[in-house]
Amino acid sequence: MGTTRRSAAVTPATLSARQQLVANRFSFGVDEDVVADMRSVGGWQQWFERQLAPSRLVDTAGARVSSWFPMLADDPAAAWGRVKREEKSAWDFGYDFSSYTLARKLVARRQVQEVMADFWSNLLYIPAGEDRSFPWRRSYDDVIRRHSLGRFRMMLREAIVHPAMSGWLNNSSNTKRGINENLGRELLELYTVGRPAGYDEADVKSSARILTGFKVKVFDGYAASYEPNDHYVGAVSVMDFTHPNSAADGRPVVDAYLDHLARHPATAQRLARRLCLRFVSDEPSDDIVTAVAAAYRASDTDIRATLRAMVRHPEFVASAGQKVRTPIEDVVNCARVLDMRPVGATDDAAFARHVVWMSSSVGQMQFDWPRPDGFPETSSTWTSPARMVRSWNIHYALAGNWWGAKDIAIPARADVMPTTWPVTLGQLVDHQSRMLLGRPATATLRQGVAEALNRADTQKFDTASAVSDWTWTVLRGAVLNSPEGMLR
Amino acid sequence: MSAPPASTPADDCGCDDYGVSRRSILKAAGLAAMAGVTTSMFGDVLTSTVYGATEGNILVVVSLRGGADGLSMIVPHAESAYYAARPTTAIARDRLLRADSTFGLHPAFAPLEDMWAAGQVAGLHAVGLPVPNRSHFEAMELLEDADPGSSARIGWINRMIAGLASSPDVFDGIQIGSTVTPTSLVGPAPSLATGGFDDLLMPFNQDPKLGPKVSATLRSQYTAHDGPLGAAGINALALAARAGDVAGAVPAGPPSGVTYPKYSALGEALGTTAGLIRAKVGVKAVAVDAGGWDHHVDLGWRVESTIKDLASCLAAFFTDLGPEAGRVTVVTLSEFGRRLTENGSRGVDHGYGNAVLALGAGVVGGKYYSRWPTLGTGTQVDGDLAVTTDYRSVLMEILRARFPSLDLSTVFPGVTAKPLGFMR
Repeated sequence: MGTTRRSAAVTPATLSARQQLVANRFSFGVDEDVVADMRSVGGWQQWFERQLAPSRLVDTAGARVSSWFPMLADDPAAAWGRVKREEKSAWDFGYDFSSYTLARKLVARRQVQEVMADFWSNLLYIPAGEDRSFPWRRSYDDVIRRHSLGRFRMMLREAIVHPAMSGWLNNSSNTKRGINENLGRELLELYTVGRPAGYDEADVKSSARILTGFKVKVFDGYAASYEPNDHYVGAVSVMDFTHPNSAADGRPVVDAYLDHLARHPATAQRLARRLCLRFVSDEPSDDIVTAVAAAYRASDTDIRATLRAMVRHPEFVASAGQKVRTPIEDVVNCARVLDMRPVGATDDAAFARHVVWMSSSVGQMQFDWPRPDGFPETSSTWTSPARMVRSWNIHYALAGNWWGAKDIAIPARADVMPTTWPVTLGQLVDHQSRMLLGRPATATLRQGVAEALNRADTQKFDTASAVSDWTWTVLRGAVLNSPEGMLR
Repeated sequence: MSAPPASTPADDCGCDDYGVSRRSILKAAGLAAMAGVTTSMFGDVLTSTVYGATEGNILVVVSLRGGADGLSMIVPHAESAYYAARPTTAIARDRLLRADSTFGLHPAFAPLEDMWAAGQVAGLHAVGLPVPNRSHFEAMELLEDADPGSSARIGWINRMIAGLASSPDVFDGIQIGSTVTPTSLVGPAPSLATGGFDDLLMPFNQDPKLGPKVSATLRSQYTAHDGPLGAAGINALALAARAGDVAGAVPAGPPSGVTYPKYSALGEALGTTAGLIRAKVGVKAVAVDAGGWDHHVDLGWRVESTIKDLASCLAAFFTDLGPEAGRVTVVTLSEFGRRLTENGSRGVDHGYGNAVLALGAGVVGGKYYSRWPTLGTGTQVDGDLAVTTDYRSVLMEILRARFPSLDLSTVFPGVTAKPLGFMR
């Protein structure tokens, strides 16, 4: 990185409060690359706009991750073949997929796309390694990622009829001869209008009837097809949507129905609230929710326009410190700011695998939530005392690489330290607080580290090598354990 | 760090009857070889220790997540409507266990048959929410908040804990298995959601010099930090201090002779629960999730394996508890029952009325209890089994019997219990 790296200074420059807020909320960790990008383009608005157009952002690191998980490139028949031969299990596919997902969060330059892919994956949620969907799970993820900064309407159209969704919520066996209400109900309750919209049980049945015809040969090759013979024909009515539905091929009706739901005011309100829960606070005001919902409707479900309305709102600007990182966000953030990068995933000792278990040990495993409603978006869920204790421990494990990960790139210590010596212990704590948290160290933190190490914070280190590995680990773990380190 | 609260003498267990019952279970199970063990396990020497100040009664709530099919668990075999509505998934009368003239248990409940015979398992039917709600998420929230008159999100177990001690301990109400706190435990009384207890210790806890300094620094930092994160940090330090004692007291695994099903998340959670209870740390209520009941597809084999897991785990749990079993009552709850009529996938969609099992201390078991509404046309609600017993009434009946000092009007405000008589 040469001498232009930020960490070369004894007192590294930090981003402005507004830049730090936007970067914290819309990345999985404000690392050197995010700071460098933010500074080179001239501000948070420019950074955000560039990130909103991911196809124009070269991301070689993010693109490389796929090659570490070759099994995920299997077509569904091949994936099923491996399971049938008992060579691999659905769980193995899920483990690969979860590791792949975390590795992308760790290395991708298109951070806003990763953050939004995570958000939509949690809304249109399908677990990893689930029996009826696993061969299609990666393909489903590609759909979500492709639309994550596009139009919700188009994402919904592809996601709801995707074979992974058909398997997971049983649409694959929903036919005119016998409906299965599962997907028809959750489409209304979880993915679009929500319960307050006031649909009834007859609406749920109609919703399911519209979705008949999408077949997946679950537990038998998983081939997906549309079967007009399975499609219910006849008038349907779901709240204010009605359609004669008289053609054998019901797919145009499905598109019309999904467009209707995506554009519905209740959907706008529900998505706006959920976005504000993720990106603003646990208790967003009606004012910001209404503003975000209005932008969503005015733009015909355009996600970028919706996000712009949210980040410009005064309530977003004033919301610093109001969101606690989830265990996954926390582990990924620490690894990113510590500049620990996976470079492969050859076996269980690989860092890309370790992060799955590290976040699991704190209380959240990627795509392991068992229900279709996704992990809770509220910070209060992740602010339990047990979680705090576990996070405090895992921060030291990361700072010291105590799990001994392989397939990992970690910069030499001298390459992330100041170039001008001597430096006092207090200065070193401040240096790391600026690098890892984006803010100066508090006096309490400086004093605490000094006491833990049995030294005065004025004690000088003459060279980088005078700082022992142990000192460096205790210092960095303490910085990450600051309250500010767990907020985004 | 607070001292374990003393429970009132009124909540102490009545172990005498239970000891006898336990012996009869072991006899019924044909475990003659264990007779000597039984004596020492349930002899006077050990039972006398069960009356200690912190060894009050315990409620274990097993949540059957996804909406269990009560009509498969406790089959209303006398109803032709049941067989007509489920051409491929109904359980034939001659396959049922412990049938009376109205109901019978699904054959996969076999592991609990001995407890049933010993009068320690009761089957309750047509239980549920007062108003139908076929949304998983709303129904779970309503079920666990259990106070529709209040907008505050405080769960009924949290209110129960708060009602039992003036300053509840963090180990009074615990979710074991999942690390996400269920609604039932949410509220002002401290609660804990965890998979185990050995990973709740502070960093460097084995380093007598560094450990306390690291904790002291965290205490200063989190005390100075306003808001929920600061409070969580302070509570975390208190939790870790208590967890040290608990981790030492909770045995690593079940005693020999106790076998939970392999690869069962429920078995793992109940094993941890039993260890915690045997360690006598003063827990009053434990919530455990048993997932996988959302049988929209292939009800037949799926519900069979889910019931088998539940029954095997509960049977192992009561064996695992040993002499502590006399303090423990288990109740199963689920957000809703399933539709009476099969869907197009040989499964059942979301319905209404449901079955409940009550097991263990204080239960007058070996029989079924229900104000059975029948499945006749006109008695169904939207085509489903009606609810004739509010689930809160079931819980009140248990709490009244096992925690008589508790003011039930604070736990379930505005509800009048209509007892079924399944508790003594």
